Amino acid sequence: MQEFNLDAHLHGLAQSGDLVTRKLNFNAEAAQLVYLSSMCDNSTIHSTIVKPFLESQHLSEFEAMLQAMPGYEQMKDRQQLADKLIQGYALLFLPRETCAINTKKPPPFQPQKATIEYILQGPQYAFSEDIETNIHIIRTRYPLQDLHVEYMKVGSVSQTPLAIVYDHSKVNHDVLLCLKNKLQQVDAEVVQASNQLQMLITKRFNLLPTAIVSERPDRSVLNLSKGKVILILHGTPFAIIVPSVFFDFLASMDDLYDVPWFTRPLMALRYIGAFITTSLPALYVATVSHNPEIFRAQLAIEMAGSRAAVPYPSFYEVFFMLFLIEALTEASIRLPKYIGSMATTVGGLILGQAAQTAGLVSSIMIIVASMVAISNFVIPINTMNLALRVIKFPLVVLAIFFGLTGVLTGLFCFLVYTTSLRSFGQPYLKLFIGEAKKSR
Amino acid sequence: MSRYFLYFVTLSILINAILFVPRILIDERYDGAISSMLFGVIIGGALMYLFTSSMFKFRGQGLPEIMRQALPKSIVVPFLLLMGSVSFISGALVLINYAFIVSRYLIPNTPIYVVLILFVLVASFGAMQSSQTVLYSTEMILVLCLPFLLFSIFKAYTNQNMNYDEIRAMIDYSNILPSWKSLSVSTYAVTGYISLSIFNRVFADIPKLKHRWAVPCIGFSILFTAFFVPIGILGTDGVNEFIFTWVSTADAIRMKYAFIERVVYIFLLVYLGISYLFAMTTWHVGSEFIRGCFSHYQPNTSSINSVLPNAISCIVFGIGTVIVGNWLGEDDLFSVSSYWMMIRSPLDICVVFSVYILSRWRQAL
Repeated sequence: MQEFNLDAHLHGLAQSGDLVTRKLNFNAEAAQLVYLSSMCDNSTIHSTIVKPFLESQHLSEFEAMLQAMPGYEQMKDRQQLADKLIQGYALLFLPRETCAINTKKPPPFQPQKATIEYILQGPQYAFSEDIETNIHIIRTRYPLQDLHVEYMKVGSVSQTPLAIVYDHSKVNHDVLLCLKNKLQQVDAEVVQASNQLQMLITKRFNLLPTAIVSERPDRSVLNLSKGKVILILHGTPFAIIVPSVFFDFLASMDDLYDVPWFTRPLMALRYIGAFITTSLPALYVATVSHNPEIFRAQLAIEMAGSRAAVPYPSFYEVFFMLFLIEALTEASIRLPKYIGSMATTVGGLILGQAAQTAGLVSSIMIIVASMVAISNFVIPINTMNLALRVIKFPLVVLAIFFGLTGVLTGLFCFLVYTTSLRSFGQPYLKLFIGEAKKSR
Repeated sequence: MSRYFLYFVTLSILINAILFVPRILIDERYDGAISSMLFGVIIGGALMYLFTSSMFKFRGQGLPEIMRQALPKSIVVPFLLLMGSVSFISGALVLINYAFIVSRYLIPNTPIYVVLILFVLVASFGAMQSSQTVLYSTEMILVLCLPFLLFSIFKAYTNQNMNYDEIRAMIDYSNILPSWKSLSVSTYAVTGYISLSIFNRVFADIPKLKHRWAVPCIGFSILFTAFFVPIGILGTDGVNEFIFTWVSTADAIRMKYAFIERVVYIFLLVYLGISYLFAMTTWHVGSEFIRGCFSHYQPNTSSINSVLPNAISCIVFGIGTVIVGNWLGEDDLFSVSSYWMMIRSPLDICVVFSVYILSRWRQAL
């Protein structure tokens, strides 16, 4: 009997450190067991391969037992051997045939607690990083036979699995067609994040996101029931929901779970927050430098008095404080949790106080800056949050040159731009959409 | 969908009623301005009914397509160019007028041509969007602006300085027959329905326009307010002293407990938005007319189509607006706008009747 030559069968993998080979000896013949220890589950290998081997007397008996095992596949094509091995199969080289047995480790991914779109009382778990687990979650929450799941791969190198999930009876087929076209055209090499895919399938230089990236299964299922399409990318705990309109980004799942008496004011609060975070710095510059006369006299004098110590025009202090706030926000994301809270304390409390006493910024500017920062975080969806953070800078520039006229001009242009966007053919910002009320 | 029709008609009533019309009506207030408002709204309403029902015979088609099907090119192209320029000029007049107001009240240090350049850029940006976008933004911004406007009108009516005796004195002059000038001016106020000649393209999926009766009602109530409130606040004779009548009227109103004490700032900012909106719709309509002269460009109803002809026409008229606005003085502006309205009303009547004849002709075929 000739010696088993591993390198001949598995050219690239023979040197791999986690490759395990075992020789299973029968009376005259031998079988060769090969698997990758990192991908395979030891107890599964024991129960599906080693146990039948110990119990059987002859090779034929062993083969018969193997063929009865779940996950048994006979390998005809030599080229596929390495692929199967990487996917977590154990290969058995028998004298007359080669077979692969699925001994994949159960995915290590458990659904995590929702951390980004946290809500108080409602479903607490987010998606996991595994595509199968996520589809399992969706199928459990949406047990209808109309739910279609289509798989494809994106990324010419990464070949990341992607699932397109939709309710066949409700979905808008134009949207679906448009989405599939866009997905076909994705020509990135490596696709690893939902946000990245969202950017790739929408226009790249859109200021506002036109597809929601959400970690909440309940949000995805609600949108499925409204006829939208969910994309689930393997390796991220986020789903992409298309098409999405502007109002979706300012809606929290809480809005559906409570009495309108609480939720409607909270929704209003979010819209006011969105307005404040985009335009308050610009309004400050406009009213302080150009049009102080619009306020009543006492207020105007108060504002001028608080700026008495500040030696330069108002837009310097606005840019100074906005830089500080943006840097703090960015730093508190990058820093480890415990140091992060210290950085905000140092930055927010001490620096702000010190800047005001040093006469670098006025005390009203400190209030403006903190209002901007706080109201930015009432927006539930992170991508919209980022977009609105960017918009305040052009508005400040317009306010420097044209005062209140400039701020209003900027807001007008922003509204027209937002209305001109289309999310997969659907209007992005349109009043009175006439949505069905059943989901409330 | 038919609410969008009401939006752009209301928009044009609002903008005309505050910017030009009351000043001219107030000039004519002893010569039949009051009866002219009534007659003007009735005539305008009748024209509106005629125009909308004739346009609705051409389902989903704009005026350029309709004319190109029925008439030879040598008539169509000059007519469309004329219609386009008319639409552009009415938007440009609003922009120039508002640039004067803004540079007087809000940014007195900025030279007027800088303000005009900003306005023209914004209006061109809006005009280059697709027709749906223009309609959606109209709805959005009107819904945001109207509450503030209604509030300031409410404050005006309940103002301490509002003297109803002045208004009663004015009513004595209501049985005088209107002059041609005041009649054409009040007809001009309800002339926004002409935009339907482009926006008819996006009204393809509705069977008929609803709530058309609201247009004369809105028109009359806004004209009435725009005429009588300044008289009540500034006085029957005193009203003659002001150029921008409504801005001065709003300046006479005070909110005792609000952050912003003077209503005029709310009014100015709301009207800035409405002026942008009006310029955007009229320039969109104008550039679509001019685009209609070139038969190989499809109507700009989705974002895929090229906006090159719109951009070129907006640039040409934008440069013209800046030059003319820089060159005009305030008194010139006033006489130019009153002449404009006197020319414009007969032109609108011509357009309405030609579309009516075209629709009859099409039925006969």
